[in-house]
Formats: sequence, C-alpha cells, structure tokens
Amino acid sequence: MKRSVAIIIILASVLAAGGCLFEPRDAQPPLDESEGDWVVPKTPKDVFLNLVTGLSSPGNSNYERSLADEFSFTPRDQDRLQFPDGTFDEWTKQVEMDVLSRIKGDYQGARTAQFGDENGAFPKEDVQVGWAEYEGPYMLSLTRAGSSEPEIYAGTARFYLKEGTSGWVLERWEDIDVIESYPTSGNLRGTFRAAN
Amino acid sequence: MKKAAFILLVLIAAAVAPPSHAQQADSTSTVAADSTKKVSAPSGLLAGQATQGEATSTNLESDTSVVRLLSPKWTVEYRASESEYRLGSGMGLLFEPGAGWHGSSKVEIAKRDYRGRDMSDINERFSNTAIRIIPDLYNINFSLGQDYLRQKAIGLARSGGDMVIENKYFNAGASWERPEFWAKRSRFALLGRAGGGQNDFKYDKNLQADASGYLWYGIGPQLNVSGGYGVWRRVEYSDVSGRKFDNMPSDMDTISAKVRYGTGEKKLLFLDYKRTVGVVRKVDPPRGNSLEVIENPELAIMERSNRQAEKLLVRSSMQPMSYLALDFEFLRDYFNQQNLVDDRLSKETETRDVKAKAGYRYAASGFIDFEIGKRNNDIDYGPVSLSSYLEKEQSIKVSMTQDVSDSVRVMLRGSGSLKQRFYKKRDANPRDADYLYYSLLADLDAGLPLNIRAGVKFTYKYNETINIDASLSDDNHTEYTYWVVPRFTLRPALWFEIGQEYEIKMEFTDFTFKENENYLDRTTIMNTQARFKFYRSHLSINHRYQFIDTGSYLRPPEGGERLYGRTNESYEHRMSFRYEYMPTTEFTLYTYSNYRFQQSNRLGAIDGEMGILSTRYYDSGEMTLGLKRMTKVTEAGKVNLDIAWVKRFGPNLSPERREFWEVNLNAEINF
Repeated sequence: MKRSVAIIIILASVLAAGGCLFEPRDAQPPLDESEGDWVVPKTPKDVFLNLVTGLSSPGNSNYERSLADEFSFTPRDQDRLQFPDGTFDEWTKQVEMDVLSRIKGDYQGARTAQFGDENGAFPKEDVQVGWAEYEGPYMLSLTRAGSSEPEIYAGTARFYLKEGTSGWVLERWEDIDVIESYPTSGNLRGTFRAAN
Repeated sequence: MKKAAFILLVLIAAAVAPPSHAQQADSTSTVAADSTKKVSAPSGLLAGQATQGEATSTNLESDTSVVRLLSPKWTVEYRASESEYRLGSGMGLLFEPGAGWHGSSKVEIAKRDYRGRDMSDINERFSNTAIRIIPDLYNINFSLGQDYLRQKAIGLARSGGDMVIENKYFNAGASWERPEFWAKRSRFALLGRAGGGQNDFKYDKNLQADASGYLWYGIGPQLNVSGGYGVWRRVEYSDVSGRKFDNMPSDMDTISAKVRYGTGEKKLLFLDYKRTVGVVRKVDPPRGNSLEVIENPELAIMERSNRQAEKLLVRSSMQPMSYLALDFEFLRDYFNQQNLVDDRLSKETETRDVKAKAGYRYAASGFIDFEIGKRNNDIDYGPVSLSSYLEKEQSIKVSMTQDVSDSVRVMLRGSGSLKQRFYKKRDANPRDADYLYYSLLADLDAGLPLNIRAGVKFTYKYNETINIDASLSDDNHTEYTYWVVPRFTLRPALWFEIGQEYEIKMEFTDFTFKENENYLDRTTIMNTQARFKFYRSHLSINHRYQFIDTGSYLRPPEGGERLYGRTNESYEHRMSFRYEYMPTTEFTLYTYSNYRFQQSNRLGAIDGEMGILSTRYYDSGEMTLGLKRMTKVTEAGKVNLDIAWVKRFGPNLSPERREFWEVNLNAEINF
C-alpha cells in the first residue's frame, strides 16, 4: 500500500510538473489585429459570420472555434470518385484546420465567403432547441497573392449545427450539389488534402 | 522447375482477371502486390451461402444427405425517413453443382427520392459469379456484371440533365494455393479484367492484368519470414463527346516483406516493409466539375500521376519480468505523387514516428503505463506552393489504475504534447506555429452498499496556440477547460433504477495579446434518469437541466484587478419519455416523446446596473408512435416491419419535417 501511495505521489508530481516538459518558441509581439471580430455564437447563424471572418482573416481562431470537436465533412459522390481512395476518410476538425491553413498559405489575396443568399437566408432552415440544419448555397472566393482574378468554389450544401456549452458550432458540412460550372468545396478540400 | 512450369500452365489456362476491388483505377495502386489476400468467393456469394445455410438447416436436420443444387431468393425493402424514400428489390440464384463449384446470379434495383427536393437516384446491379475452390490447391473464379447509377440532381446545376455512371465488366482469376518452393505457405495469382462504360462526361474502356506471388517460410518455432511481389497493368481508352484519348497505360509494381520473431501475439521483433511504384493515367474534368466538360469537351485533360510509396514498420515487445512490459515502435511512411496537369495535387510526404511504452504492475491491485513519442513530418507540396512545412511533435502519456478495494477504483491519466510547425517558405507564408497541449483526467468509481454506485470525474485541459510571426501572433490564445462530474445510481429493486449526474464545467479562453477578447463559459448541468421494467414493458424518463453563462474577466480602464462581467446566460430544460410494450417477442409497440425549452438572456448595463437587455425563448419537441413486427413466412422467409408516425414542432421547421412517417420494411423469401 505504501508503494501505491508513493507511486501516486510521484505520478501526481510528474503531471503537475507537466508545464515544464516542453519548451515552445517565443512569439513576436503583434503588429496589428489579424483576426476579425468574434461574434459570440448565441444563435445558429452566428456560426456562419464567424466562419466568414475565420476564412478571410490571417488567423485561424474564429474558424476553429466555430467547429465542433467532432466536425466532419462529407463530399458529393462525384468529388469522392475524383480523388484517390481515402482522401475524404476521417475528415476531422484537425484535417479541416490543416486544409484551411494550406488554403490561406496558397491564397494570400482576398478571401471571402457567403453562406445562404446575400441576406444569409437558406431555402431550407430547420431549427430546434440545441440543434439546427440549413440547406442552401455557399460560395468561397479565393485570390492568390498578386492576382486580381479570384477562384470561385461554390455549391449547395447541408450544414448541421449544434449548441454546445460554448455556444453554437458547426458539426457537419455535407456537399450535395454543384452550382453552375463552379467546382465545389469538396474539390477544393480534396485537392488540398489529397490522401496518400 | 517442372513444378513451376506446371503451375504457370495451370494459371494461364485457368484465368485472366482480378476481383471487383480492382475496378477503380486509383484503388489498384495498392492491389497489385497485395498477394497476401486470398482469392475468395465474392462477399455477396458468401452472404448468400450463409443465408442458404440458415434456410436449409431444417431440411438438413431431416435428411442430411440432401444438397440443393439451386436456391432462388427474393428480397424487397422500403425505407422512408425525414429526408428520403427508398424502394428496392432483388432476386438471386445460388447454385452448388458440386466438385468445389459455387455460383450466384443476382439482379438488384433501388430507387431513392429525396423528400422536398427534385432529386432522385436509380441504381441497378446485375452480377454473375462462379468460383471453384479446391482447398489448399487452387481457386478459379469468373464474374460478369453491370452496374448502373443515374442521379438526377437539383436541376439548377445540370440544366435538367442526369448524371449516368454505367459500367460492364468481366473478371477472371486463378490462384495456386499449394505450398511451393519449400515454403510453409505460398500463393501465386493471376487476375484479369475487361470493362467499360459511361462515366458521367466520358465513355471508358479498359483492360487490366494483375500478377502476384507470395511465399511464407517458418524457420524454427519462432522465426517467420514472408515476402511477395506484384505487378498491375492497365490500359484505358476514353471518349469525351467524340474527343478520343487512346492507349493510356498505367502500371504499379509492389514488393513487400515481413519478418516475425517470437511467440504469441506480441512478437519480440516484427518488421514490415512495403514499396509501391507506378504511374496512373486517366481523363479528368478540370477542377472536378464535369459540367464544364459536357459543355466544352476541349477542356477534358489527361492527367498523369507518378506515384511512389514506401512504408517500414519495426515493432518490438518484451516482458522481461512478470510485472514489466516494454514496447517499442518505429514507423517510416513515405509518399510521393507528382501530377502533370493539376500540380496542386502533387505532394511528397515523409513521416518518422518513434514510440516507447512501459507498463509496470507495481502491485496486484494497480499498474502504470508510461509512453513517450516523437514524430517528424515533412510535407512538401512542390515548388509552386507556399504551404510546404516541417512538423515536429513530442508527446508523453502517463496513466495509472489502482483498485483501492474490491469495489473502489481510482484512475489517473495525464498527457502532454508539443507540436511545432516550420514553414519552408516562411518569408512568403509566415505561419510558423507551436501548439502546446496538456490534459489530466482523474476518475473515482465506487460500488457502495444497498446497490448504490457512485463516482466523480475531474478533467483539466490546456490548449495553447502560439503563432510565432508578428503578423499572426495577435491571434495567440490558450483554452483552459475544468470539468467536474459527480454521479450516482440507485437500484432499490430489480425493476427500478434511478441516477443523477452533475456537470460543472468552465471553459476559459485567454488571448495572449488582446485581453478584451477573453471570455469564460460556465456551465452547470444536472441529468436525471429513471428506468422501470414491469410486465413486458420498459419505461425510461430523462430530464436535463442546463445553465450556461458567458462573460469576460477584463481589467477596468483605470487598472487594477480583472473583474468578471457577464454578457449572456441561458437556461434549458430537456425532458424525454420512452415506453415500449412487447406483447410477444416478435411484436413491439413503442412511443417516444421529448420536449425542450430554452431561455436566453442578453445582459448589460441598465442605468448603471447589470440587467437583462433582451430575452429570447425557444421551445421544440417531438412525438413518435410506432410498432415493430418480425414475422416468419413459413420456414423460408421473413418480414421485418418498423413503422412510426412522427410529429415535430419547433421555431423554424420545414413543412416536410413537421409530420412524416418513418418506415423500415424488409422482406425475404428463399424458395
């Protein structure tokens, strides 16, 4: 029993000293505000506002805080077929953030997004306490540094949202159709993940 | 030598063709040398055999010498839900002519309509399979079939046109299963496939061949060595509205080797190596949208993708003492893909991952696990991309479980990691960042007298994001989570159980350089549940109360200690009720209902005092009434039916989701 107590104390000490285990790099003091204003997501549609600022700003925190821990993305069947097997498997929040970082790295010009129509309304809106589902158009406009011509990715998608303890978050993004001849977000995501 | 020539002759005479998993061009990249996979009867056929086995078991009991040559089967299914209707039917014939031959012929058709939208799919499948299995000697198999899928999209997109994917195929394959070349096990396979059909915007024809060999040697009781080699070749022809792409060859070669030393499941040494090299050519639409190609075939392109993959895994496990276990693992995973046209798909990645783990049973009542790991990732997207980076990660995990008595257990688990990302072109893309993470979990669970079970769980998480460059460091922040969950369950009688769980959770985000963005969410939750069982009935009642308030600890403009100011609060009640009555084991009546209510207040200063600025109310609910019925139709068939009427209300629900029927009907008859 004494040995158990000693081990518990040692273990607790190791864990308590955890803060000293790793040495991250020091950050430079900020030059200016890189992140758009955060809207406390007290209604489901606040999530879309934060996704827009999360995409357009250099920082990722608005976008990251708008995703549920169990976030997933589901592409159209046609987009799935276009990429190697496994490209869209286990599309977690971590994968989404890695893809977002790559998008921001390669498209350093203006980045804008629109969810729903110009007023943020969707053709289908189902809202209940703690749960919401929207279906409608979205559009992502991405511009490379030094270019004036944006690349447009657009489609129709279903967005599943839930209310967690930190407000509303996006749980699932499911592409269901194309709009005109624009490539979808599934094509953009698949291209920038391209599974091994 | 004569034996080898004989094997070759048998295989060539028997076949030319792969199993259905080699149909997709991209999936073949790893198929070629995966000769360790045995050729077996297609899963549908095996499923059919299993079903047939069930259906004929009674006959076999009465006369075990009867073997049915032909077994027809018919199935139908109908499903309705809040989002779609689906109607499907299938007919199949299984035959067992003897001499090791098994076969099946199937036709399946299904139609799916989407509720509230102008979209529908039709899917048809026709397949014939024959396989001869001579155990431990050889297998040969043939299959012929057609898949058809028509999807009608929203219409807005495709101008009312349908997307059609329709492929015909013929496969033939053979494998020699008898151990050769002094090996304990070996396998040599030849597979071939001819196929073609409409794939949305293009018409494809292709020929494929796959050859592989695999040898497995056991040297003494502890050492096993195995290795294999495979080649895959394909040539494809595509026609895009009259524009022809002829003779597009693809190939993939794979070599693999495994060494195992030791006994039991955990080997003292396990080594696994695999290398794949090849090229894939196919016609793609630009950026994935085939509409552009349908309108302008000139946009279709032939993509050439060179691929190389290499994977090495070394694992070692040992137990030097009865109370000590040690594990070590090294993984190197390399992948390189270079695309000729869409260079955004080009990618070269290399992962090196090292892990060491020790498990120590320090007493009969407790043990500790300790693990350290180090991972390096090199991700290169080619010379054009600015996003290539190196990533280094170190991690540590410790866990301890201690039984304090027969009914009390304590568990502690802690972990920490540092992930550092270094961008290769950081001048153009200054996104270098460090991610620091710590967590601690403590759980106490106790069984008490009078059928009482109680426990408490504590969780702490620390998640820090550190952007290094001044252009992004404004976003640096740390997320803290503190979470305490006490719980208990009472079971005063076998037919009654009641329990409660409380959650107190604080989530605090602390921005390093901009305090005004800091915010704190405080959550209090109480879950109550009761379950009753009486006379063929189950009843469960749940209630959840949740209170959340959000605010910030901000420093007053005049300085001094940071003060907490609330900005929002919300109260929520959720109640649910579920009752099931089972008059017989094959028939269930059920009802389910829930009601949710939420009040959200926005808080602020009114005449110098904190008060409610505005209030928003939500309520929603659902009621379901249904029955489940399972019926046997003689001994040869069965019908499963689950049908329910659902009624919902909420602040903003589309009409088709306010009231609908949920149906799940399956019928099956074996003739």
